[in-house]
Amino acid sequence: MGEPLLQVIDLKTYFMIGDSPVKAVDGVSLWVDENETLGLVGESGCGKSITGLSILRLVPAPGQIVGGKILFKDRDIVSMKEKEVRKLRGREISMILQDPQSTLNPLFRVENQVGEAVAIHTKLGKTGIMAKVIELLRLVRIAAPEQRKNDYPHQLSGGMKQRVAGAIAISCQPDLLIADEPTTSLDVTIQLQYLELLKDLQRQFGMAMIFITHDFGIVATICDRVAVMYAGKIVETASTRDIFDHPAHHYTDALLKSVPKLEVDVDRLASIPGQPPTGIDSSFVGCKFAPRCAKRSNKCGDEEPQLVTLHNGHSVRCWYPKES
Amino acid sequence: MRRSPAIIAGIVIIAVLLILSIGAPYISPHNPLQINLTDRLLPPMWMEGGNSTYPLGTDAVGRDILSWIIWGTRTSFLLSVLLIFISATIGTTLGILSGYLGGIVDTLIMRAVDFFMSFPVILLALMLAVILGPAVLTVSVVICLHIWAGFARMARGETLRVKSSDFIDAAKVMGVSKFRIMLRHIFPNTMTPIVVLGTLNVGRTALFMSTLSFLGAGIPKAIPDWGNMIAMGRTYILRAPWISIIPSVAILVVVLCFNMMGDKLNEYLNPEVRIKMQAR
Repeated sequence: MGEPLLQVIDLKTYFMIGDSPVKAVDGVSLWVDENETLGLVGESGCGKSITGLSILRLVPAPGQIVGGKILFKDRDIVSMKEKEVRKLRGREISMILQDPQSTLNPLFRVENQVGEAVAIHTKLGKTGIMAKVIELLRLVRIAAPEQRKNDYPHQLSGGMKQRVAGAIAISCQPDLLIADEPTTSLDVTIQLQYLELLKDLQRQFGMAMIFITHDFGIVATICDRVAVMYAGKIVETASTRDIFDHPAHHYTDALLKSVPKLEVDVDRLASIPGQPPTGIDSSFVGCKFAPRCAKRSNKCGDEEPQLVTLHNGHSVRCWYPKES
Repeated sequence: MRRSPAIIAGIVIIAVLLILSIGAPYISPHNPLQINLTDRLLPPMWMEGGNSTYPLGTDAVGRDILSWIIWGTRTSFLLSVLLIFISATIGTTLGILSGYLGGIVDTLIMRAVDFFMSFPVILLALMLAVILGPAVLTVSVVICLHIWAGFARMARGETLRVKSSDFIDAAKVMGVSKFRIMLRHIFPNTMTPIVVLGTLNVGRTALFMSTLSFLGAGIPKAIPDWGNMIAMGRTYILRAPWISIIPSVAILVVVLCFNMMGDKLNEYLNPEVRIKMQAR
C-alpha cells in the first residue's frame, strides 16, 4: 500500500503553564491509510482532541507542539509555514467539532456559511458557489436544501446543524476528515444516522477519517482501527476486531467492561476507580495507568513500559499484557 | 417589528431632521444670522406677544429661533452622527484587532484607550480652542478623541467573548484567514452592543457639543448650533426662557429618538429575535 496518508511520529504537545509543562500529548505516534477510519479513544482529558488539533496546527495557547513530526502526503505539517497550513485546512484536512449548537455562526444563513468554505478554497463564481452549496446540503441529506439554505442556525435542529457542519467539512473533498466527537450531543437515533452518513460520504469521496470518541459503540460501527489513549500516550492500538476480541491493555479491557451490554444483566456497571492523571506531576516514572490498574505489580510503578508489537498491527504499552 | 410605534416615530423624526439639515436654505423662513433689533426677545407665537413671522420667537438680537433650529440640525444632528460613525469605525476596528490579536498589539491599543479615557477632555478642548481657535474641525477632533476609546473597549470585550466560540474554531479549521475571521465572523457578532453604544453616544455627543459651545470652546458662535443657542439664552433665562428651552427640547427629541432606535435595531440585528417578530 506504500506510505500512509498521515503519519504522526512522536508528537509532543505541551501546555506551558508555570515551570513544568503539562504534557497533553506526550509522544504519540499513529498513522492513517487512505480510505481508512482510525478511532482515537480515551477518557476526557487524555489528549485525544489536542492530538486532533495538533494535526491541523490549531493548538490553543498556551499549548504548543514541542516535538515530533506530522507527515501528511510526505510533507511535515509541524515545520510548515502558517500560510501553507492554512491552505491545507479545510481543503485537504478538515474537521468536525463536537458541539453542533455553537459551530455555526448565529448571524449567517446556512448558504453563507457553507458558501464561505467553498469560496475560500475554490475559484467558483457566485452562481457556482450556490449550486455547490445545494449539492453539499443534498449530500448530507438535508431535506429541501433550496429552502433550508436560507435558514439561520437557530432554526435548525441539533442533528441538522451537525449535518451542515459536515457539509462545510466535506465542501472541498478533503483527503482526511478529523471528527472530534461529532455525535456526542446528538441523541442515539440521530447518532446512528450521522455515522451512516459519514460512512457513505467516506465511501463516496475516498476520505480517510480520524474519529475521536469515548464511545466504543461508535468505534464498533465506524472504525477500521483503534488507538486507545491514556494520559497523553497511546497505550494500545489494533484493528477494531482485535480490540474488542483480545484487548491487551488493562485500561482498554476496563473501558470495554464499563460499556453496558444488552445480553448480560448486571446490577452495577464496572467502572475504573480513580481519576486520570492531570499530567502535572512529572516526577512519576512508571506506567501512567498503574495507580488505577487492577493488575499492577512493583515493576509498573518503577518503570514506564514501551509500546511493543504483539502481533500483526497490535501494539500495547504494558508490562503484563492481558492474555487472551 | 413593523407595528412598533416607537420605531416608526424614530424613523419619521430622523427623516425629518435629515430633510431639514439638507434643505435648510430652502426651508428656514429667515436667515438664522439676520439680526433684527426691533424684534428682540419675541416669544413663540402661541404665547402672548408672539407673532407668526417668528413661530418660535426670537433671541436677544432678534434672530429667528426656528431658522436657527433648522440650520442647527447640520451641526447638532448631522455632525454628531457623522462623528459617532467615524469614532465607532476607528474604535471598533482597533478594538477587534486588540482583542483578536492580543499580545503587544492589545497592550498598545488598550493603553491608548486608557489614556484617552482618563484624559480630561474638557481641558483638551479648551487647550485646542486656545491654540487653534474655536472651529468645527477642532470640535470634531476633540469629540472623536473622546469617544473612540469607548467603542474600542466595547469591541475588544465582545471580541474576547466571541473569539472563544466554537464557530471561530470551526472557521479556523476550514482555513479561513485571520483577517477574514475578524471581518466576517467577529465583527458582525460585536455589532449589537456597538450599535446601542452608538445611538447612546448621539445624545452624549450632542450634549458634549453643547457643553463645549457653552464654554466657548465649541462650534464658533457664528454658526447656528443648538448648544450655542442654549448658551446664549442663559443670560435671559428668566426674561425669555424659550431661547434656551426650545433648543434643549430639540436635543431631547434627537437623543430620545436615537435611544429608541437603538433598542429596536438591537432586536433587528439578532436574526433569532427578528424572525420571531416577523412570524408574530
